[in-house]
Amino acid sequence: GQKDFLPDGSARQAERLRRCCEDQWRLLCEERPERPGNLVKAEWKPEQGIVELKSPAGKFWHTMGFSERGKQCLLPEEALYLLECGSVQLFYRDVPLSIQEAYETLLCQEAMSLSHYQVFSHLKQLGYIVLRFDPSTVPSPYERQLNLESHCKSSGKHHRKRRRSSSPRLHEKKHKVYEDLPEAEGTSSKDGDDYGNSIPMDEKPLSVQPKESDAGSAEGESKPVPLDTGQKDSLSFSSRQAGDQKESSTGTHAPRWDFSTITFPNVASDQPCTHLPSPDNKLLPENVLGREVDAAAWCTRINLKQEKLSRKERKQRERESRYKSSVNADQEVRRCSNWHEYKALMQQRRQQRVWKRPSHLWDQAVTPLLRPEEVTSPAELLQQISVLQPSHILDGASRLQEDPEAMKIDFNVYQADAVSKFKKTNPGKPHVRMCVRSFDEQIPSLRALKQVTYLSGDVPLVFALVDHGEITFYSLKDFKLPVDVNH
Amino acid sequence: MAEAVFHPPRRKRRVFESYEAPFPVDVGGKDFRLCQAEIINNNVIVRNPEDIEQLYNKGYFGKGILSRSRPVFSISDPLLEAKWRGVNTNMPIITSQKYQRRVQWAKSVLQEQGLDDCSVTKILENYTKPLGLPFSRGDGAEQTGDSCTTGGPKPGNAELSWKSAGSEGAQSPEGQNGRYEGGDAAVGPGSGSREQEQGDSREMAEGSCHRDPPVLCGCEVKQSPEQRAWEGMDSRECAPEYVLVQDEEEGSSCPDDDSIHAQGNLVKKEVLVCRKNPFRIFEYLQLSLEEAFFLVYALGCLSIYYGEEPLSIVKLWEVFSEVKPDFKTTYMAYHYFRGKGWVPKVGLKYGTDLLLYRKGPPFYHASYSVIAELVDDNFEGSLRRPLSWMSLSGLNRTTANASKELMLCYLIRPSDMTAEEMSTPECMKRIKVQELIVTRWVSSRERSEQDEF
Repeated sequence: GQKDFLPDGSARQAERLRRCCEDQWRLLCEERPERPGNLVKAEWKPEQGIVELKSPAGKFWHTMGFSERGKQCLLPEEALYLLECGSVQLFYRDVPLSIQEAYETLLCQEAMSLSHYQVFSHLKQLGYIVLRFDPSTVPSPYERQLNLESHCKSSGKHHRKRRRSSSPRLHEKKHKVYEDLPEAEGTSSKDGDDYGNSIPMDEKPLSVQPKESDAGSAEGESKPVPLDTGQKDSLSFSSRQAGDQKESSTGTHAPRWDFSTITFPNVASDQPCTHLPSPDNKLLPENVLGREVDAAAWCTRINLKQEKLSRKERKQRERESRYKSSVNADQEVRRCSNWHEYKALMQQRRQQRVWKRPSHLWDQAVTPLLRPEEVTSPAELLQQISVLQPSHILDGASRLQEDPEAMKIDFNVYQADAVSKFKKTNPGKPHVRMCVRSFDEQIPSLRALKQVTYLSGDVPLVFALVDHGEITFYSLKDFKLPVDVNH
Repeated sequence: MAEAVFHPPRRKRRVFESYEAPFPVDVGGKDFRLCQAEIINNNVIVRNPEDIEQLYNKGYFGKGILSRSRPVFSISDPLLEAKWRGVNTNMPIITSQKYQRRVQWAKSVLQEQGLDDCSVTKILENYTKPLGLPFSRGDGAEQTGDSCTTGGPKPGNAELSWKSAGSEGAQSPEGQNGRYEGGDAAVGPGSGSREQEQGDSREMAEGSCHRDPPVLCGCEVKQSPEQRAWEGMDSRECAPEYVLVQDEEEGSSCPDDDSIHAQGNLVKKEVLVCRKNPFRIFEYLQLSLEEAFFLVYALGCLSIYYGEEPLSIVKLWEVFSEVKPDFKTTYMAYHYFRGKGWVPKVGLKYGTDLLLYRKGPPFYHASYSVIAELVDDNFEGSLRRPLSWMSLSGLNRTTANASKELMLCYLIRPSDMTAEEMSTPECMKRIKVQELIVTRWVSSRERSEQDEF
């Protein structure tokens, strides 16, 4: 039924509440039977702050406990946890400790307070393996650098199987560059043609720098672009005739033709050239006759069918036409008969534009960042205006290490799935490391965060916040927003 | 240590706009347009309608002062529009009550100007009389004569589908009345003839442009002289706005009327009457301080005036810092994200400084909610928003509920940076940016998703 939110003073409600409380008490009071044979006896050693096992350890020994002077021992939190599980019986001065007494007695150290224990217990119950953090076990960055093997293995899934020896790696571990980010369509990936396809540019992934392409792109030298096939054939034909073995168009001997005098007839639709003279007979194969042609008749017969663009293409053209215009449409440009004149025109225009710039912005100590005529692409535009510098979380972190006030890391946490392969003597790299903090504390300053992140090495760090038995976990991770240019 | 994973932004399901350009300045500098804005009461306002379009359409700068975001204000009543759906017109439709209110406002303005009641009444009566359409040449007042280069009512005001005889109740051989009758959506008799040209309506507007006393253009009187900086605004502002007012009137004895409120012999009908709006309100674009400064400093495509004087970049930096003490911090964050091609908008609704959109609000849901903080190079500083884990938790929760990620943006300034250096925006060249993403780690979920972290 529906929950009661407010007390309504009724007897029925009071009765329900009373019954609820009673049930709870009953549950808590229940004695938990255990087989005495399974109970491991252990003794609390206050001077050493540890618990010594008096009978052989059970299955828990696989992930908990340590050996000291030939004896099996447990840390206070481990012992308390096992006590709560009903796996050990704790004694102190030959008297078994109740759970309440155990809480009071064992959790008196600074390193293991109640909140620490609550986090420990929470994670253990979920199946994680939780060990205390020891700073000396964290490999230094230099050591990590040397230890390439395991380094690569742990992130092996991100690397391609085959390493291309010739091409340099584009990204370092530290300053990752985000490449080829996929589009998330969310739930509506099946949305129709409407916008999903009509804005094709948007489907392109966000890109940062030119990415290392995998597809078999030019490794060797690119072949020179072959000339018009007709000529090439005739070239090889005559070469063969001359007894030359080479078939490539870049033969070692001087070319027979002076290319500066050979022009390609331009039969484009806006050109008047339609008269093609007869080709030199020396260039033609034996059985082929050449003749001169007036292509005018043909020109009127081509380009009759209207170009049918797909919807995508149409939309793209529409978009482009908004901020692109053909240089041929510019009358002043058409009047330029060679490059020199064109460049002079551009220069003149640039200067004109300069005066149009308002003096209150440009004749000052500080001027606008962007010079629009200097940029040729949206990416360049962004570059011109990007003046702030990026920073990484570990920048400057090493010099902060001597700080005694630095936050401490409490636990190393290993995943439950790793249990079978787990070795206490060589636990390996944890899944995460934990810092136990309280809810009403301020969040770590950037300084504190850098210190503790550095301390954690290359293992992600999580903050465990305890609030009266409720535990929430947060992490603050380094991030680099990718540049978005492909709109 | 693992870095935060980038989650690509989610596309909006229905996109009603098309994308024009990332900035109001094009690559190569073609068609460069210098927009103008003014500082009014410590706010930056853009009034010129072309500038407004340019700035909003290319980069989503600013917010319409009478709209949610894009300046699309119209006094038209949506309920009435739905009711009179069959009428094909672009003129706003408003209730008689709303119209009368405007008449009252215009009246008080005229009174303030010292006119006596008699003149006021006369002027208003003349201005607000019902209008037929210019088809009838008999209406002297509506004749075109002068040329007024800008059109009057909304440019798209093309489909006026009814002809008029000019005065109420008359039924000329041309047929129809100058208004719509009946409560049903269907238009009156014989409305099939839609030969009305849009040229005529513009004539009407142009004709009236210089004829009516300029005081009735609501905008002009509202502004004090120093706030009007340009000429270009005048023609648009003095052209009257035509509205359709839903009046009730006593029925006439037209045989084919649809009477809805038949009460004995008197018939009350609702009709739409075209009148001029005596108190027109213009919507302007308001730019946040960060947006305005970006347009001036980063792109150089905006000039901001205080009174008649355009301000230099350094002056603006100083002025804005006075208006908003944390301006430098929030501006640096804004500049940084714009430099990455993202569109930052104000984050007020989510309790943060900025919301980051990819491309712009119409296309994707905002991806990040950002808090900006300035620290020194010991990575400490007096925080604008000191957060406890508790408040961070709450903030993260509300952010996550809106499918956004919470980002902390630290701006790291070298300790040797003097106040003098910080008095110009060039100080940004020495400032570093550290982005952090706040994520919640869910202990129970981590078991099966090994690679997630």
